[in-house]
Amino acid sequence: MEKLSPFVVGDGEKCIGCKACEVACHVSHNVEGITAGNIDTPVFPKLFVTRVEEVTMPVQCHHCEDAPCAQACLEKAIYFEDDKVLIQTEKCKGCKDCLVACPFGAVELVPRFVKGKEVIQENLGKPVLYGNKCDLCYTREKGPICVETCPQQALRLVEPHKEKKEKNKKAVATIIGMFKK
Amino acid sequence: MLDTAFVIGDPDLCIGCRTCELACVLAHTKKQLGTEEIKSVPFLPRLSVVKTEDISVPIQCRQCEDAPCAEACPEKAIVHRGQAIYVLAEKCVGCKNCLMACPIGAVYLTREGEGTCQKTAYKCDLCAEVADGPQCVKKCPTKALSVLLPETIEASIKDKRTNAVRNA
Amino acid sequence: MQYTIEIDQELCTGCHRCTDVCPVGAIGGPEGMPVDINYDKCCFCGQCVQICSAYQEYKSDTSKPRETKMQERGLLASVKEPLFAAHNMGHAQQVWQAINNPDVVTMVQCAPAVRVGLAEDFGMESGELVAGKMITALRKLGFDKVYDTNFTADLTIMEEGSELIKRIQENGTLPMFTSCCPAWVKYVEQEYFDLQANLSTCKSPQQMAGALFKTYGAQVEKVDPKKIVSVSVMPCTAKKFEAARPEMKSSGSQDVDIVLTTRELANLIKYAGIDFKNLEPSQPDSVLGAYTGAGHIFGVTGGVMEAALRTGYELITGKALDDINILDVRYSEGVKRATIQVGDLAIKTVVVAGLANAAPILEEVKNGTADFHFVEVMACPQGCISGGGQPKVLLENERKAVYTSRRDSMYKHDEELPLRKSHDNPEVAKLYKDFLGKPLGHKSHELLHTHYVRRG
Repeated sequence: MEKLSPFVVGDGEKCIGCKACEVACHVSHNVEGITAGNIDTPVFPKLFVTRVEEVTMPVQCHHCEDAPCAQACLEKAIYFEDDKVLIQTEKCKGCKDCLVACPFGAVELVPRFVKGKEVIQENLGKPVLYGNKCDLCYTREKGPICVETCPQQALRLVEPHKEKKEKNKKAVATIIGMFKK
Repeated sequence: MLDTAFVIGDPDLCIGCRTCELACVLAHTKKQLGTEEIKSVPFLPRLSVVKTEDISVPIQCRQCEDAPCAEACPEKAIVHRGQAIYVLAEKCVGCKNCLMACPIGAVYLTREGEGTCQKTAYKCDLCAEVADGPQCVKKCPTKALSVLLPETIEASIKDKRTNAVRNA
Repeated sequence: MQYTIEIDQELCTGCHRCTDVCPVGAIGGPEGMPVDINYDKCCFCGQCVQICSAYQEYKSDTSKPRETKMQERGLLASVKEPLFAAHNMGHAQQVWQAINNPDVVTMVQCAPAVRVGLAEDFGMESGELVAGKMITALRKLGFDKVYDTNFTADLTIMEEGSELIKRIQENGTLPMFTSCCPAWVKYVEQEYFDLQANLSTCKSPQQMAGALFKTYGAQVEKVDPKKIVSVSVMPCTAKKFEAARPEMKSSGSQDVDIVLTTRELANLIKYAGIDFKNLEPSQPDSVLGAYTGAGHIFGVTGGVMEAALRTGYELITGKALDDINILDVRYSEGVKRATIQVGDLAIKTVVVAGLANAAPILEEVKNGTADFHFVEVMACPQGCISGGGQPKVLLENERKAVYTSRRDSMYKHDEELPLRKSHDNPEVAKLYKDFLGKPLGHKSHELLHTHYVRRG
């Protein structure tokens, strides 16, 4: 069985909506230092805690095998690296095609900050925006920080081939039940 | 009331020979054994023979009436067609939601053909495009697999109820 | 009315993590809905402020603009960190006005734990000791006198130690409870007022300093007490509540005018454009600035107890301690009991870390089964180093390690100091000689001791 891209999923039954995953995501990607005083930009997480009626759950990139965001990208700024879908943010022109293409709303355009200051385009006088989405914390040895941080263990990194095998095994048990004479 | 049929394997009869997997691949690739072209075909059966310590049995899609895979699909790429739950590969973006939603691990993703698509969902489609129905059922040497049609199930329920009253 | 601690109803997601850390059950509400604080119960410890991760999203269209919220919270305009739902009121703007007002004399004090936390908000190592840089920064900010709460921590030991000895020798109310943690004091006042006589009558080091700034300090500096603006920097949010207590006016006006948290001081230093990392260290001003290791360890659970024992032992036995590090009272994780032999006296001590752990001890006292003499209670899980006003640790997984480094840094500084017993503090001795007379004396009673009020 060919391996598929891993991705992080949230469990709506466990999630309490605390946004600790969002904070951790931003901190891990942008902040040097361990305390809130070191954050010098708005928080731009790469996953999005979303409430629908009574259920709260983070939404994040599925690292789709056929990544529509990558296919839609004008500048080829979105690409596959091994099994991850990544954005080369310097290439991004803010065209929004990826936003339209993504079935989950997992990509967002955010303003670029350098040393705590928003970068403004000279002629347009508006901030430079770039695509931002989950990169599975690929530079981090211990993997996605959201998974590690969640106080409710409501997030997990799914490895699809293992997921399938485990479910198949569970299914066997139910089939035995079906054929019990 | 029921709309879909499904294939089920009997673990008491299954000997774990994987003939069903082979039959599945041949049926979906429309290739013949012993030919030259079969050598280049990737082995991607839509059912998986799962072996535990004491038994073996193929696991395949139950074509759930409430198909969670279809409900989970953001692209509406999984539909009810004929008596099966069917993947419209051209619509699939490979998000793996169906894989996550399926309770038995009957959906997986793979690369099919040479199109722009990378990997798309695939699962048992009851051999929708094969003339004489599910080939796994046809080829199983121990007759461990069978198709359960909706009307068969409905009839059997009624029978069982009748028996239950008689035996009470 | 504005309270010290508030939960922003627009930002709270109802996750209830604050409910879980609140030691007094003051926070509640239906699941998934913004929570409310019951101010009859809230002790303003600020643990909710530390845990909260519900922040205001960038250009959120479901809440008031960030700028408006910043103003409502009393934050300086330069603050860039996210606004979280649970927060404390800030007062750095008032301090900025005071230090830029040529008509007033500003006097400032910093609590022990501030100097092992402050560095973190400047991207430095967790727990890094910045006692000297902190003092320099305060001078650069323009404070006229930079004193130290560590000094009055030493003074507290002289008063509180003497009070304990007196209670033991004269069959006074025992066990005696420490009174330096304002959250704990409020808790006793509202939940166990019958035991208020067990609380030491000593004011906290913050309030002792405040009372002295506007009396002794004014006298030494030859300034009109009315012109003094007394500022404190605390690792604590409850200190804001304590400073505002109506009885804290021994000097004639509010003894501590403005309280900043460690975080607010960091913001103020950034606002003033001071390059904190590269400051040269300096020493606090005499005559209310010198301190010993004993005064310094007030900032960690067990520290007041250890400091009191260091002095008590020598005052009672007249002999020096074999080992000044009294490990039996350190590192409490909840409740730690010990028996310390002081001459003929076996002093039984209890060190409570975390206000949620106090009730069983109070019940023992209430039902007469308590056999101990002295109880130290700190509302925060590891004492002031983990206070509600300390730099906010962003990742829960790192919290434990950060608190450990702050704690280790506290004890390291204690060990490095030339003087480690409060009664060896020369400025404390001078204060008694020139101004107070003797511990528990008339003037001490007037300035350094307080009374408690029934609440709820």
